[in-house]
Amino acid sequence: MASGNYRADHVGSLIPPLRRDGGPDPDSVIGAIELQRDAPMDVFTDGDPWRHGEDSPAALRERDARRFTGEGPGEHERLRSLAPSWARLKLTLLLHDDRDAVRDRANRLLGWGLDYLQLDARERYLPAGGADRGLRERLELDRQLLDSLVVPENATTALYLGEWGVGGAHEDRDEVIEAIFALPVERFVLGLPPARGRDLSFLRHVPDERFVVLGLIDAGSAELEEPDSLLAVIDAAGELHGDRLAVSPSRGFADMPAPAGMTLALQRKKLELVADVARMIWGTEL
Amino acid sequence: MSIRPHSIHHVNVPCTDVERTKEWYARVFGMRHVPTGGQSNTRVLLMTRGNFDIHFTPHDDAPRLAPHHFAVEVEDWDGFLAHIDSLGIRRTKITVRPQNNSKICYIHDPDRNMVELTHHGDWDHSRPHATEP
Repeated sequence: MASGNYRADHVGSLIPPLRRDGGPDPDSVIGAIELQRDAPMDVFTDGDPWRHGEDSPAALRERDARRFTGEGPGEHERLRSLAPSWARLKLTLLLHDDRDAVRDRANRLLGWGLDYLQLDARERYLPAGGADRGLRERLELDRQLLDSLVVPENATTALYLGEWGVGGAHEDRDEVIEAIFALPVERFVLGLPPARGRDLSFLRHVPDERFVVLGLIDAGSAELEEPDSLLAVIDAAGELHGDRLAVSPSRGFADMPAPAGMTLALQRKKLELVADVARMIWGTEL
Repeated sequence: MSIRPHSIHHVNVPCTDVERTKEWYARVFGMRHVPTGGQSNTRVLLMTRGNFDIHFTPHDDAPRLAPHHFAVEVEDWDGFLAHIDSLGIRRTKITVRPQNNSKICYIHDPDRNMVELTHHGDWDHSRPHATEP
């Protein structure tokens, strides 16, 4: 696995600019790359413009081919050429119960040279409804799935756990949390918006060698936070987990309908805040 | 005749509050304001340390400089870090450049302009530093 200290991370989806007729901009990928380069982020995505499209296996295969091979328009080569040299290119896959399909797609992408594979497990392990009888089995099967991925030396895997802090108040919550953070990925990405209380106690369960991406910049709010409050949370996280930390927005900007007041300009400022906070803590690492 | 540039005289960076910037650079780096004495109508804030200057162009909404930055060599690394810490200014962790073992860390001014602090232990800081290019 890669060990790069890329600190300015993000969950993935971005609000795309609209064409004059209100439809999605067909070249939103270029806009997404420029936005991330200007911030500048350490982790780049294509803004996930296809996230609401069809998802049959054949469609996914075709989409992956567009993104990560020289076939078709060769999006991967285009992304590589547009993104700066330090950028890690990230793609998110939904982690679901058809694990053979997830494994095949993940291994295909990693085999094609994807830098950073993020598996989306939001709401998968700590449902708000409390105890989940199938949870232990799901965790074990997911562990087997993750163990079976063929991850090249220079690639990274991460698990996105959604916005963290509510739900799952069942008796064995600590044991479940321990099992989640024992899953074999390099990074855990968690949304920690202020509304969720920013409880950092989960960090006690994260093995020392794993990176934790703290989703502190609230993508679900039209307010722009001051850096000092964010720096204080990262300092507190550092007391519990040392230096293996990164920072990101709390979720993808286009994961849910944008809140009132969220604009492309504000999305840009929030990404810039991610980058600024990362550099206030870690500088530009050598 | 010489075609050799002598040194960098100043860098010019954005700021949003001239008085705040003036106070911060005076407190952190011991720089002083260079008044233009009515001989210029420039809005640019001129600050000098004697051996180097920094100019600040005021903006209502300053463009972001970071991650671009400038670096200030300090004579006494431990002493300067103690000074920064005593002012309550946040700094990044210290790293060492592998090519020359110089030490670096970063601080940010009130406009979030990134300022690198650096120290080359093998320099004679009592004299201007120069090596052949």
